This record gives sequence, C-alpha cells and structure tokens, in this order.
Amino acid sequence: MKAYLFAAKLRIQTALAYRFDILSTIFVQCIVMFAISFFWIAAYGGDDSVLDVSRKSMLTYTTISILMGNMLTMNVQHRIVDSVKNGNVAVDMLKPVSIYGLYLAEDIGDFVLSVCQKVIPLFVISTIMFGLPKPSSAISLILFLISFVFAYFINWLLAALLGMCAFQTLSMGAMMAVKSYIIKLLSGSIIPLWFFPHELQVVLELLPFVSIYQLPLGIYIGKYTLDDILPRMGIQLSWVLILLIIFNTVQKKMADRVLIQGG
Amino acid sequence: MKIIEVKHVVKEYKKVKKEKGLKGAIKNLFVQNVEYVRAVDDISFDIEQGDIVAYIGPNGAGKSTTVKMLSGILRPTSGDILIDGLSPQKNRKQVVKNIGVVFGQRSQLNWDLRLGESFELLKRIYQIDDELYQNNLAMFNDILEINKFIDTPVRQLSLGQRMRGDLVAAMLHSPKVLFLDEPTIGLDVEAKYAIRKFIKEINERNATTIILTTHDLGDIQELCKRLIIINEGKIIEDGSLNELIDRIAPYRELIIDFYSPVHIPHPKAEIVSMNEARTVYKFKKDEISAAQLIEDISRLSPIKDISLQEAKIDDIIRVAYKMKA
Repeated sequence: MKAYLFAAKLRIQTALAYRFDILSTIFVQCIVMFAISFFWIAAYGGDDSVLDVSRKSMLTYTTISILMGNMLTMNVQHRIVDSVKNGNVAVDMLKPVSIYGLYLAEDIGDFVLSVCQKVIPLFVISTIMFGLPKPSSAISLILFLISFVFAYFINWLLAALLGMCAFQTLSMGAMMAVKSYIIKLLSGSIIPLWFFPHELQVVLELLPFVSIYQLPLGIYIGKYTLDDILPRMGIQLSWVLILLIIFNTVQKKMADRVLIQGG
Repeated sequence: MKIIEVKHVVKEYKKVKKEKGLKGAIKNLFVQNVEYVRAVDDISFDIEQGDIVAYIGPNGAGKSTTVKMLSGILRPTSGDILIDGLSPQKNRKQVVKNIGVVFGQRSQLNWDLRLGESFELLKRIYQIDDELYQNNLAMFNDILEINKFIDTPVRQLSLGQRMRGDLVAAMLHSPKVLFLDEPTIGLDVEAKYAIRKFIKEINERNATTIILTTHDLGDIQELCKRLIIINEGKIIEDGSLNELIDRIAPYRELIIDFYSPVHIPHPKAEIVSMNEARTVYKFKKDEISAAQLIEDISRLSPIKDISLQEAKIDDIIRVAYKMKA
C-alpha cells in the first residue's frame, strides 16, 4: 500500500514541474465552459424550465460536468500504450506489485493534483460568472459523491481496457480520441440524454457511458427522485462489477501476449 | 544448490511477413502471411547459487528473450522455468522479489525524478526495511560513488552514471539472482571497470548469482566462471571458458625475435610466419610447454626477445558462433 501511495505522491511531484500546462488547461476549459453555458442560456431563451429542468440547474449541470471532466482525465491508456510501444512494460513487470495498481495510483495522484490546480480555480471562476453551482439538497450531494466514485472506476476501467488493446495491436492511433468523443457525446456530459429521442435514450441508458457523467450530474441537480436514483445507481454499480470482471479476464490473457519492443 | 532450473524451454513468436511496396501494403491489409519464429528452441540448463554465468551469443540469438522469460516478463511457449523453486510466470510477484534485472538499453529509473527518489520508490515497492536500505546504499556508494549524483534528475545523468544508478536500483532489495542484459553497452573504460568491480563485489559479499549477457569479451574474461553460448535459439556450448579454449583453440603462439633471419623448425611447433628476424610458432599446450620450446630453440640460435600469446577470446567466440548446435 505504501508503494502505491508513494507512487501517487511522486506523480504529483513530477506534474508540479509543468506549470504552463495548468494555465493553458484552465484557459481552454474556461472557454469551453462559457461556450456551453451561453449555448444553454440561448437555447432556453425565455423559458425558465425545459423538461422539468430549470435554466439555473442546467448551468449548474454544465459547470459540474466541466469540473468532472477535469477530474476524470485518465492517463492509464496512454501509460499502457506508451510502455508497450517503447518496451518499458518489461521494467514495470519486474516490480513485485500489481502494475495496474501502480497505474491507478498514478492516476489518483493526477486526480488530487487536478482538483487543487484546475477544479478549484474553475469552480471560483464559474461561481463569479454564473453563481454558485449548488446541489439540489444535502442528500443529493452525498449520493452524487458516491456515484462519482463509481463513475471514476467505470471511466478508469474503460480507459485501461482500451489501453490493453495495445498489447494486441501495438499502437492505438486515433482510437483513443474516438473513445473520448464517444464518451463525451453518449454520456450526456454536454447534452443530457433527456433531450435525445426516446428510443435512443432507452438504448443509451443501458450503456456504461451514462453512468460516467449523466447519472452523477442528474443526481446533483435533483433531476431524479430518490426512488429513481437507487435502481440507476444499481445499474452503475453493475457496470463497475462487469467491467472489473472483463478487466481481470483480459489482463490475464494479455500477460501471455506481452511482446517486448526493441530487444 | 540449484537456484535456476530451465527445462526444455521454447519461445515462439508470431511474425507477420510484410510485402514490399504500396501494393504489398494494401495486400497486407487483407491477407497476412503469418510465420512462427522460434526465438528460443528447447534450451535446458541449471545454475548453481553464487555462480557468475555469461550468457552469450550473436545479436538475435535469443539471449534477451531468455532473460525476459527467466524474470517473468515473457511466458515461454512451452517448457518449465524455476527460480529458487518457483515459476516466474505463475508466481511473478514472489519471484521478482528475489531477482534484480538491469537492461542495458532501458532504464527502470524515473526520468523526471532525482535518482534518490527513484530509490525511495523502490524501497517502498520492495518493502525494504530502513536498516538494510541504508546499509545497501552505503555499500553501493563505496563501489560506485553514487552519492556524487544521487540528487541529480535522472534525465541529466550521463550514460555511465545512469547505468550505475540502474545497478543500484536492481540490487537495493538484495536479490538472490541478478540478471544483467548487456550492462556495459556503450560505456567508457572507467565506467566498465566500476561496473565489473561492483559485480565481483556483490557476488563475493552476498553470494548473489549473476547471469550476464554481453558482447564485451572483457566482461567474460574478468568475471565469469561459466559460459553458455546460444545461437539461433539453441545452446551450443556450456562450460568454463578454459574448457572452451582448450577444446576450440588449444593453441598458443610464441613470437621470437632472433638477431638475424634464421629458419629454425621444431617438430612439435608449426611455423606460422617468418618476417625478417621474427618467427611465429604455433604449438599445442598439451604437447609441449612454452618453456621447453624456448629452451630447444635457444639452443640452436640466440634469442633477442620473446612474447607468448594466448588464443584470442574473440576468435574462440567467433568459431563457437559458427558451430551449429
């Protein structure tokens, strides 16, 4: 355990060296946040509420979605693809620890750093611009936090699984970008699914992507009733377990396929 | 005690044959010619605890593949490997606690951190207790003088310094077995010397078993009692260096400078070349001793100067590489 904590700490220490990255990310994220917020303000027009969601709630939804996006950046897929490509996976496998545990520890280090360096400043900026993005109640805040933890693991497992494809293909090319757009679009992170056609909603609700953004966000703004939340969180938890099982199986399979590039 | 046991190990790679040109590239999208290549072809050997063994062979012979299988990174297609009684494939986490590995061509140090921080991380990963950690660092500093650059970020280290750092990183947890995959590649004389000294020291102090792959024959001459030669995936020689020399090249060369050009044959030595007053004799060690030969010749003509040459290890290895299993 100590090893994983220390790995997370070292990760933070390393990333602190790259200051320019933080400023540019905050700048870009602000632009995205403003653009989507003004889009919603325009889309709502004179209406105060669309499909039971008030304009204020929609702005909160957008802000929190952007903040979550910054917390859910996973390095694990790049980490796996890179180490397969340059052969350093060999060195990672020489440690008496789970290599994926080490990757997760590094991502959690990034998470902590991202909260301090990006999420808090963005939160302050959005509060100044659009008012405090309040949760609908204390219970929704607690449920949101639980649901967010599940969301984190679903997102991490998906990223790790995609990264592990590299053991087979050796390079991933555009697949990683495609995956991030799929998640953005189908998870309701930009446009909530309740604005989608009904048939599409039914299908998308069954996919794991909804569990990453829309479910925690919907809980936060109070879109769902308590009776509604529990089964949805049930589906979310099932996805965590299903992905965990897939991850375990694939991981064992891939251990046979390790190829070391470059001698 | 046998610390490493390798039995009938085979490693096959799938290799996709690419065809030439644009046409070939397009064809490859649909039809792939798959070929199976045996990088390691049915090898078996045992290694005793405390031995230093050179594992050598030409490029692409399967050396690194073997080291990677022994250290649990690659899975053999068939055959069994035991390190201290455990399979590195089935008990990877257990086995890697007992081994250290240095790959000359890649580093396990973290590029962005100071050298010391990489060691700190390893300390926690291997759960090394404080006392052992401090003792080991102090001992390694004695030989490799790492304290001079322990606070330097790894990216700024020279190759020689980085290699010293990697050696320390591999030995911090006092493993029983150390695999060195071309540890002196690209290093200057000074760094090579330090690394050989380190290998000798840890072998003597801790009875660490060391398996060394190298192209540097100086490494072998200075360090290894035993030599395993692999070529095209098969073991073609396994024995001591002296044994190998005796078998492949049991010759020595005696170079004699006379005062004037003379032709003096000897029944037990062959004259290889004569150039002015210098004559080169080639003789077998078991047929006649160098002293006897010199004595016989000096009786016939006065000798100005002599030198004696052992068979060159390069030549021996080259002969060995050419032999098929």
